[in-house]
Amino acid sequence: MIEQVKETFENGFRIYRDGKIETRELLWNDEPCVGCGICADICPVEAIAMGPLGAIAKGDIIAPKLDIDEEKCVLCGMCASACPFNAMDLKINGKSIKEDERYPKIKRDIKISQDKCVLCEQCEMVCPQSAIEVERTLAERSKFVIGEVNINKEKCVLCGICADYCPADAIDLKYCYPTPSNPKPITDIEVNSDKCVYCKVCEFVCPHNAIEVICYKCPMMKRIPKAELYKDINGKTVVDKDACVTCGWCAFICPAEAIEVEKPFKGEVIIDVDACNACGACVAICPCGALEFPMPKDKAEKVPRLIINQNLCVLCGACSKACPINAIKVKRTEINFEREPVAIAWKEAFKKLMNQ
Amino acid sequence: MPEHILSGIKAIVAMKLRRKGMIQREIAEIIKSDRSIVSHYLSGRYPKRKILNVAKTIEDLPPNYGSKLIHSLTDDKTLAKNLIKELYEVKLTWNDTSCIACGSCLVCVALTLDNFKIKIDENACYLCGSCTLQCPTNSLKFVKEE
Repeated sequence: MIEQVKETFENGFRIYRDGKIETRELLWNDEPCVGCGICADICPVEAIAMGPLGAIAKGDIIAPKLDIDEEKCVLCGMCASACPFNAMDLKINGKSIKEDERYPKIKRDIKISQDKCVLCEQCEMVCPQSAIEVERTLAERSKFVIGEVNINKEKCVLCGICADYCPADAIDLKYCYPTPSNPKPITDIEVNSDKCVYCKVCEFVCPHNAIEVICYKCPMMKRIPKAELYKDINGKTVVDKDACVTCGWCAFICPAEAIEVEKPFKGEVIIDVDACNACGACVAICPCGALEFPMPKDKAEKVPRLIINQNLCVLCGACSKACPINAIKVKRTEINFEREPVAIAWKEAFKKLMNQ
Repeated sequence: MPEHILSGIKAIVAMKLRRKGMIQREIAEIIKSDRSIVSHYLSGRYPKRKILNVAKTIEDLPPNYGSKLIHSLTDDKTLAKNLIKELYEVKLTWNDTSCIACGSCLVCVALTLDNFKIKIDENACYLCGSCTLQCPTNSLKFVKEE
């Protein structure tokens, strides 16, 4: 019997076997692990035990999401091969099975078309993993907002009525403490060109006809085609593929259909709402933020009713694993393989992920 | 004592081979004994009944356990292999439907794992059965030869 050694790190562990013929090393990292338990489902020797997921997700306790019994583990690598979130890896003679063409791999991808992207930043706002960053640079404001405000200082009585009406807060009155040598409380009036939008409100409200506003853009705006306007908006939308869980929220809300998300599974999540006791473990653990207890419309409703948006779900099954009363079932009908399993036992093992 | 038990096993094997129609010289080669001793085995003069009983108990063991025992009786691996092969009439086989390619069996130079397939080098294998005890899915087994 070749000894298997387990080493625990701050953020995970590794199980290592140094045989005469080959070395194998199984690595697990707590950070990308979402607690979906797919590894535990597929393990042929039942060596993987999930932690108290609900309590961990809610922050009640600090514990690893799973543990592998190094006495039971045979380092076959099915868990690493099935893990959709890169939390596990098996290295045979130093080579990762994720890079080995012969080992099956579940496909999961996100593509953002920079050509289609309108840089609206909404995907960045909804991403549950904060994996998207929109870097946009806009043309100088002065390119679109340009004009002039002329205040006739002779007519102006510095009443400040224009400043009270100004919707852009662009008129500054220079106040000073009145003294015998400088008896006026207001000495000057100025227009802040960074704020002014040349809307002419000051011109309309001035009781003394002291202000004249000219907007250079207004009559021209109609002549600038919209497309040309967009030329002045530059930038790109970047996604951190390691952090992305391919929930598809961004693609779901993208107004320009610029994002394409390939999910690892097809199927649906079935919630037994009557059994649910609204503990919130599922909502806390869901890496996609697809589950919610909406505010009850009916006041008579005592327990909030759990809902899921299937469009935002990756069918990882973390909710089902975290639910203390098994009120959530994940039914997968299809696995999106990048590389399909070839060996018979591996085919059967992956089938187990669908028959739950 | 180990020598006696080994003799008992040799005697059982000799009788089995005789029943198959082998002549004493061939039997002597397989069990690595003198022809005179083979003659003793076949005539029942040696070994004693008690020793034969121990050997028969070993014969009744599951082959993967019995093989380990026989290997412990002698340092001659080829002899042990011959005895196991004839006593249990088994062959080491690999089941491609249950194997998960975990590599646990790779404790022996006779086995190689390539692309989810285990290859058994029958010349290098001494039927020690270690791999069958390592395999978590029972995919390496001693199977009765037809």
